[in-house]
Amino acid sequence: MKLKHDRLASLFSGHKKWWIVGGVGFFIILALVAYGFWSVKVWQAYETGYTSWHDQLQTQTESALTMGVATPQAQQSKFAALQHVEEQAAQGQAHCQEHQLFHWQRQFIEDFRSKFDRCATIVEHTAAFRQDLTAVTMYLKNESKVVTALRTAADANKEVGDAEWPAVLARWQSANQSIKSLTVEKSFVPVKQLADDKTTAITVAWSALLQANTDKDKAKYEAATKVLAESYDGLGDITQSSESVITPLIKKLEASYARTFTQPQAS
Amino acid sequence: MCKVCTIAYTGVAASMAVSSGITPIAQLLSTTKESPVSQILQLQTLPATIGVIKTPSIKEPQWLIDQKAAEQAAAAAAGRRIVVPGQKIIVTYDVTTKGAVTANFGEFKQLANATLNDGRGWSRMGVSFQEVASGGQFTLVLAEASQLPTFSSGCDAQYSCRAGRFVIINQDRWVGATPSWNSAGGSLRDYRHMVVNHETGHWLGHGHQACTGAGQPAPVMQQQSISLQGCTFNAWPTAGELWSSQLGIAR
Repeated sequence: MKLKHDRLASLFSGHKKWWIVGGVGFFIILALVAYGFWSVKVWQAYETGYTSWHDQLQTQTESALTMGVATPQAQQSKFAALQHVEEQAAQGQAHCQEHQLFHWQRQFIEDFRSKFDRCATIVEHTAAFRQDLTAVTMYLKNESKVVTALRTAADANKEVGDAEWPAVLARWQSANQSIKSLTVEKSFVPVKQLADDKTTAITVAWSALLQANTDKDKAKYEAATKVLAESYDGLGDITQSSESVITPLIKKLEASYARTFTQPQAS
Repeated sequence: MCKVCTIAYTGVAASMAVSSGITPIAQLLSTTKESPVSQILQLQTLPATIGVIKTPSIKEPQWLIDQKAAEQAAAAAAGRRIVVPGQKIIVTYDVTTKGAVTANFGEFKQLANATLNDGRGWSRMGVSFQEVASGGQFTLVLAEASQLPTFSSGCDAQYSCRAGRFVIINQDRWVGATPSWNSAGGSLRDYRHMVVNHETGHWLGHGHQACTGAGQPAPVMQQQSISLQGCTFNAWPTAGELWSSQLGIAR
């Protein structure tokens, strides 16, 4: 036993340098292999992280878009759900942040680079989708403000006697003031301006009818009723103007939705 | 990173990828679904809201009812036809096509009837226009442009026309109005109202009118298809045009 120990001691002392080199080398290789396995796990978790976020975002988006709006409350809920989607979509960049110890690897390893590139593409598409979604929801919120104003003025389909005309005029004047005072997004400005013009025209027509009635002037009365009918017909122009603005916004949103959720995210 | 390590690592990574099959993101993105984006328009309530806002029915004030009654009494004394409030004169008309008509005939009939009975139109004389299957007092025709001259030598393929009992709307004008109308910024819908009112006006007994003054609404019997003469668009008969020798309704 002692002889064996002596032989090992002499072997080590004879090749001490090589033993140290070998030992250190062994530990380095061991560390490198461990680092390699760790990085695989980290990159897998990285991919799972952004895939899961993207998956969840798609589910939330579909759910928000398909919500019914049978009641005003449901309408508010749908707006809130879309707002939540916008907030979630804004978090994409955080999911693309790689681990500091491994981010250099994507410069040398194709698989990791493609994981990173896919994430970057998804985030880029999601950002565009979020922007387009915000544009549409802001537009629709502005539109709903005009709708609220118009609803307060809308006349019931009944015969309106001259005693009621001042009240009808007051309702339209109030609606007109509400529309004038709206603060809206840039894209909605032309529609707001038209809504202002058209409701102003209705108030002017009602004022003319009231004046003709006061003057008991048949010609003025007949002219005023004609102008009044035309002014109500003119409201249809607001719909056309609105359609001309929202249609391209929807098309843009359709395209960014497709890029974000239904098309291959080629990098 | 040393080459040996990179190769070893790539091998490990590759084996991991193969063992896990298709990556989840590829799986996710390979599925194609129909976009639910259009459903966001459920939040658009403006068209529906505006669609139900109609011109309210205006109840005539008493002074006007009295004034009209006095006028009718005076007209009766002069032996002219009286339009009794609430008792409308019924005018029947039938609708047909001539030649190769490609425009939407159903839409034509619907819009023509709506125009004739619109509260801004000839119905203000106390007339109600009723479409009948055949044998109407006049026949409204949607005709291929080339067919217009077949009605009368006074009709040409360029414009709409009235010939005897036929009120003929030129299909080319119905579909695209006229260059002068379009270049002046008139809408197709207004043109359609105007052309139906104008040609029916001829049947009612009207000739052509001239613009009464720059900036004034054009009489509906003015040839607005050709020129506005400084007047503004007007698809409806003016107060001064509310008479009909055909129906015996005095000016």
